[in-house]
Amino acid sequence: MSLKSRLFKFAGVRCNSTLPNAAIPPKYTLATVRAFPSLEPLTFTPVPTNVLAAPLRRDILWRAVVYENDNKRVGSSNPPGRSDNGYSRRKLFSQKGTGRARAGDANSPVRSTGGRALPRKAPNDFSTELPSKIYSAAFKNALSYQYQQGKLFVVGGQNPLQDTNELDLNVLEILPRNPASNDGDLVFKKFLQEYNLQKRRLLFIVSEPREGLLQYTEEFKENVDIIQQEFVDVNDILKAHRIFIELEALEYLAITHT
Amino acid sequence: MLKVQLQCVRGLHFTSRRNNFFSWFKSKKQQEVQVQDTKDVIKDIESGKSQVDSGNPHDRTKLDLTPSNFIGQQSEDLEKGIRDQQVKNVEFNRWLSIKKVNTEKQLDAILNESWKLATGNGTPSLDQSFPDLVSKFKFSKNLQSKTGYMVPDFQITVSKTPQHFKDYYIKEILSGKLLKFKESEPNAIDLSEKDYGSPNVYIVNDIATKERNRKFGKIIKEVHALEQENLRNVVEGTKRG
Repeated sequence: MSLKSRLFKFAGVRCNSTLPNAAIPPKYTLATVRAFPSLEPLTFTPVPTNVLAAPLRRDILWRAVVYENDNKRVGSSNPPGRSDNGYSRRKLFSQKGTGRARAGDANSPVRSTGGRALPRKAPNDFSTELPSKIYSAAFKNALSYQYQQGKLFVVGGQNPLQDTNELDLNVLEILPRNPASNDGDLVFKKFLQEYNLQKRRLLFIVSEPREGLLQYTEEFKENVDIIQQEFVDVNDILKAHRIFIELEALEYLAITHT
Repeated sequence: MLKVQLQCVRGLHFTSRRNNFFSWFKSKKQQEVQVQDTKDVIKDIESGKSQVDSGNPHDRTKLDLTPSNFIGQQSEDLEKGIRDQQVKNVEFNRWLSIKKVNTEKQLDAILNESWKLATGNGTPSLDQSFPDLVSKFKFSKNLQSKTGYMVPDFQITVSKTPQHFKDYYIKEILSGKLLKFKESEPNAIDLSEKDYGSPNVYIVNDIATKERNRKFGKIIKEVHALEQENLRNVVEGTKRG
């Protein structure tokens, strides 16, 4: 049997001989597109399974988290080397004839008051490297993990199967109840109450700056992270209890990490 | 060129000069406050004699009618109450029913209703696959809004028939699993006697934290009472001795 026919047999939807339950894995998974802040479903959107339904790979996530945290580190340690220590370069005593051990100058790292051997210089660089493919896989894996836990909510309004309510928006934005009042924070608080999210860490991934969201979540800033699509990290995704992402931002991330 | 010369003079005295040396002692002497009878004070207030406001809030006999001047409620509590009321009045598009589904019978009725709404078909069948994604969307949305529980997207994707949705609701929601679930302890193991039919297996049922705290508080109270009693006995004993 040729390799091609064997592969076809393996991947076939109905194969009665060796692997009766073998099937082609699905290519797409469904994400409900919702309105904000009510989270009312408006339509479904198909998303590739490698973006939102990838099997969990803790090893890859671990590598990406370590990589990000290494790159965030900034050290200011600046110990004096033998040239910075300040003592004279004069030899402490002659090489021969004293009966003592040989000695160089007072800056020698073997002396207690000497300089540090091979000292590092501030700013210290702790950054490590990670292949971009591994990082992208980790990014998609983190999104998939949150999606499979039911903690990822996609917000948008393209091709809706029903109309958006007048109290809702199709982007992650908060508007006051009427233009004269400045009470958007009440709307956000109502949203938190309705979905019992008061003590949860929330991540909002937006495609462009949302002034209302930024302004009216000020009171809850300890638990609310608003990040533009270009600056999202694997750490941010994994730490969030709930993720609200705009459809455009999801498309951007899916394309960037393909 | 103009030169500005600033002469710095160090001041030796910072109080006004007094001619009389003893005046210093006199000024430091506290003014004796005349004690007035309470009845006289009340009479003065009622007759309006003491209504002159000196500007000092301590001298006032009448308080302003502001909420913070009333005894019983702190201004922070009041503000919080007002704010809570404001939040309550905010209009919100509540698409999930407040009344949650809690029996299988109710769930069956909602499933049938959702199927009819989604397909326009009068003969519901739980094992029938959804004809297209639009009908699946309508079905899942109606199901979620009527049951009051959101279904994760991943679950919607893998559910091919209404029966799959029903299995999910029975396993995750009607079994009480969702109510017991604590997000801070997602992998907590919940054992119950129902799962073990064998007579040699005994499971100590889990006691709620509230119940545990109540019992602990009661015990501590009793211990304190006993300690106080002992202390009193010891003190009385030493007094007699």
